[in-house]
Amino acid sequence: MIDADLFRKSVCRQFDLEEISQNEYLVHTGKYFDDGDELHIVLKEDGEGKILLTDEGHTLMWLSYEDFKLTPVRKSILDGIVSQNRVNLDEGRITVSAASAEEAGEALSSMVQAIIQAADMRRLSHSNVMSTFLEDIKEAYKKAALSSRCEFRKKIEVRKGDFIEPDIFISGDAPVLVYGVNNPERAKEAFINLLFVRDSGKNYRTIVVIGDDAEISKKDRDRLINTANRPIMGTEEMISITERFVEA
Amino acid sequence: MDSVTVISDSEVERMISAPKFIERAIDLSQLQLSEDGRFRLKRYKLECGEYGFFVMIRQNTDRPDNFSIILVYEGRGRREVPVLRFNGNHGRHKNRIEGETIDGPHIHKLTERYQMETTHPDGYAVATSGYADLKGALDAFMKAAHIRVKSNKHNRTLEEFE
Repeated sequence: MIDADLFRKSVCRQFDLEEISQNEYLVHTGKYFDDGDELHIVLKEDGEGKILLTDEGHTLMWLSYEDFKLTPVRKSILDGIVSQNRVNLDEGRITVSAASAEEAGEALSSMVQAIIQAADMRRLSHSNVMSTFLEDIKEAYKKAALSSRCEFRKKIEVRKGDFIEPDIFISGDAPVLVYGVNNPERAKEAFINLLFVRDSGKNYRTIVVIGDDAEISKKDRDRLINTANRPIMGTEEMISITERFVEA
Repeated sequence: MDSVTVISDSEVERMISAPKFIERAIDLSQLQLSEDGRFRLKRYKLECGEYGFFVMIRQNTDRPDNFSIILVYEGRGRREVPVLRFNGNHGRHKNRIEGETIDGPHIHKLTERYQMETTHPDGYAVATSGYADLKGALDAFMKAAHIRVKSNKHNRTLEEFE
């Protein structure tokens, strides 16, 4: 037999108010971000007698924790989150008003939902996308016929004190170095590596794989294309092109 | 270390205790306002022989006690790993594995266990009474993370003579 009262009490126990200044409360919801920090929600009056719940901009600040930029795509996702949960986005603050304390429960649920969904945009962050991209490339080469010749993130000294670190090193008479590029930082890093290789006097050949959705400038893209021996746009034919290039 | 390597607890301790240098003293009035004006943020590159590190500071403008000072390790493939994070008073924190909750300022640390068992590598934190505001936290952070201003690079501490 389910004790519904105990269940209700157990659920309600997670919610609490902590007075932080006059007529201003921190709302404890028992809901947390991935890192264990509680959602930041403050309850106060909005100046017109209504109840206002605000995150004080904490959610977007929390997202800045990693290399997160509110790109047009992410902004449009955020707008959708705000709209579907019937909350507002006001100069970086997620807010919602309620006409009375009696209606505040529903507003709080919307607020919690909106914050959690917004925080999930972290999974779309640059670093995570970049890691996934490089991991995907690595996995593809591991499964390829030439996998036995591949080494990953091999550190090579090209000149005294100058090291290069290709994502994939393919051994052979003229070894092939593969660089994956999916963002501006990585584009610069790969370009410097390509210059080192070019000036090293060694018989290395280079491939640069530029991701399908790489957010890099035309300038970065052009100089990678012009410097690598074999640029590859996108990952779809990456392995077959690499195999032909290695055997050429 | 590649992007999926777990950093061991002993490596984390080595990272934290490695001597680090910063070009000049951090001036908190120089933090840059975010586009929406809700927080101030700045990154500072550190010099450290073995590791690539930077410090990130962010502070909420609505509630200045809500801040973070983070020591970030730059791994391969531009992977950024938070190693040590001094948080101000933004509310409550819960250590998901242990189930314990903390109110007020707290210090997050990268742990092997949280890397393996949760989605946030520095999800473990301990309460602190070592600071109450951003300036106090910065002083405590610099000491804890062994960061010194570069001009003092050749001034060795007593501990280094031992």
